[in-house]
Amino acid sequence: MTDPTRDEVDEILARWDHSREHILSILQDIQHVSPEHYVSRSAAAQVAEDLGMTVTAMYEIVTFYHMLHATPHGRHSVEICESTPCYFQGGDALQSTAAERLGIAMDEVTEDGALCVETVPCFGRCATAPNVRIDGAVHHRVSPAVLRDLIDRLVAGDRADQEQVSQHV
Amino acid sequence: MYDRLLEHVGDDADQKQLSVYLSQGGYEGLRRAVEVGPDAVIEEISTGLVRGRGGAAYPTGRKWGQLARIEGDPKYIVCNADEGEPGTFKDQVLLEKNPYAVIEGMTIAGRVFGSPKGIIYVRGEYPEEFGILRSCLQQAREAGLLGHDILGIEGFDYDIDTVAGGGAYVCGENSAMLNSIEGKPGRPRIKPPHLAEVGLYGRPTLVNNVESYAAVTLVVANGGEYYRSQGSANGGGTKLISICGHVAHPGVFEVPFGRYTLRELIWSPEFGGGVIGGDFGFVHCGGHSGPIGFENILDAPYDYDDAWSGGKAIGSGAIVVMNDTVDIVDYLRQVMVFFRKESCGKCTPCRLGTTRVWEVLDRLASGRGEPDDIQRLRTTTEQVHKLSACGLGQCIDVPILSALDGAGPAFEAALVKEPTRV
Ligand SMILES: Cc1cc2nc3c(=O)[nH]c(=O)nc-3n(C[C@H](O)[C@H](O)[C@H](O)COP(=O)(O)O)c2cc1C
Ligand code: SF4
Ligand code: FES
Repeated sequence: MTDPTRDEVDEILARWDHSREHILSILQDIQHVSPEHYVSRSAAAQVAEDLGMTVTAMYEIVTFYHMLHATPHGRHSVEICESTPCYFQGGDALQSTAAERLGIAMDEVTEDGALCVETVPCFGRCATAPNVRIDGAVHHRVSPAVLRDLIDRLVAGDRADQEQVSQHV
Repeated sequence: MYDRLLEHVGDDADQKQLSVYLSQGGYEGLRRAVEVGPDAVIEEISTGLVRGRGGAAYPTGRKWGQLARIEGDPKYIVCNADEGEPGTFKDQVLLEKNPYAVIEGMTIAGRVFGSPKGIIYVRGEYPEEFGILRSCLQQAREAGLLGHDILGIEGFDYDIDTVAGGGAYVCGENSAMLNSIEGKPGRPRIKPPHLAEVGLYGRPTLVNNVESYAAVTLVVANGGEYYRSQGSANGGGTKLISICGHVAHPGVFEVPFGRYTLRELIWSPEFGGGVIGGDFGFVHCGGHSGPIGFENILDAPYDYDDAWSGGKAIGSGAIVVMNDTVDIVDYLRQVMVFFRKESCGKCTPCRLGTTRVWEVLDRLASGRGEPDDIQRLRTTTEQVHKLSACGLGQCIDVPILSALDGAGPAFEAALVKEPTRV
């Protein structure tokens, strides 16, 4: 598991013209290439230096915005919408389904770092409630059985990926 | 020239192509704005009775007039595409189905205020719309509709950039949004000074909602009188609404102000298509910070300044319908889960108060209510409303008090409910 390299971070900074206005895009892109989807200390320091900010100011930003993470956030993410249109059309049951399947509470990462299950506010797909976002892709009208299946597949896929990684080492 | 935001858009028309937009009469608004000049454009918007579509319903012509009177250079044009009110997805649909109407409206603003730069702040959860806008802006640039000498007019230089949010509802508040664009945590500023005086990077700034800019395009292209005639005496033109929850046909619809009642919007086959999974329970209008209504308000016209809510029911355009299997106390608890997580923490009454209110509702919803909890709910809510610095804390009273007023017995019943969990 490696964090984004200095070169990768440099490339992302260049993509956004080294502009502080685009700091949220920069940090999101960094998270995207980070295997555990977080902004590591070294990446935060590099961005801070590039944009002429202090590392403290950088962490203020990383901790303020819900989509950014200052600590490892799991290799995969399961985000269950908890706003009322989703919640009262079956979203409530999805929270307990996910928690039971993985043996963790909402907003926790599994011990092996494979995945994080979170509740998130409405992301604007309310017409097809209840919605779950898995690694950024929206799944509509999700039932507990479908969610269980999606989680099982994520876990199995991650296991296979990890085995491949360890064989290469 | 088209006179609706979405109605003319065919299902398979590729509205992301500038050529398609131009073939529908696109950019006639900008041409007309150049012809008649800034004062006449603002006059036209006032005549058209355009009111802000982001939630607060502030008259758009008045907002533009205020900025026009303020000295300062440069002035910035900001578009609020942070659409975060739960149950609201009309800006998303507008950005997919008519993105150039928004861009044209922002370009009209650029012309009116002699601004060099506009910014569209797109919520982080909308990466597709972010991509659509970037592609559309590039096409507009290549066609000479952004950049230098727009429409071949010497010195008409204006460009628009997109900035992505990072997941924070409070960034939809306009001063918080400007802080976020400046690369800071998105906490609201204390006002005054108003953003028209001290806005982005301390410069005079215009902030309007996505749909408001698109409405400006329609007004300027078709004339204020015409636009006004399409709506009601309280608001000109049409409104995009998003109906969802327990209805047969959830989705985004375009409706003239004042023409329909909530009952029609929920049950008509043209719109919501009726309640599913049970009988009608209640409706939550205008987003989480909007009012909750029961059977007795269904015949109120969907309009600003209606007798029921004083127009608060319009808000963001959300209409969330719940059937009678949903308990109002449970529902409110879930509403407060949202506010307490999204409170930015800058002011104590909101930071602590949203949690206190949630605690009371959690007790009531799980049968652990204490005798004075209903009174506590009311007074704490009123304090948060009075003492908070921005609209987030200031508006939590709207859903809670409307629910207390409309369904008092449900709260009384919660007090004597058996505990469901410890
Ligand atoms: C907590 C909070 C969240 C808001 N979220 C949004 C939003 O997502 N989109 C929006 O257009 N306006 C939102 N607003 C309203 C804006 O502050 C502002 O009134 C609006 O962008 C002005 O544009 P308009 O006059 O065109 O409506 C929000 C306000 C508050 C207090
Ligand atoms: S009212 Fe709430 S969200 Fe608004 S500034 Fe105060 S703490 Fe932040
Ligand atoms: S309520 Fe779940 S996506 Fe809107």
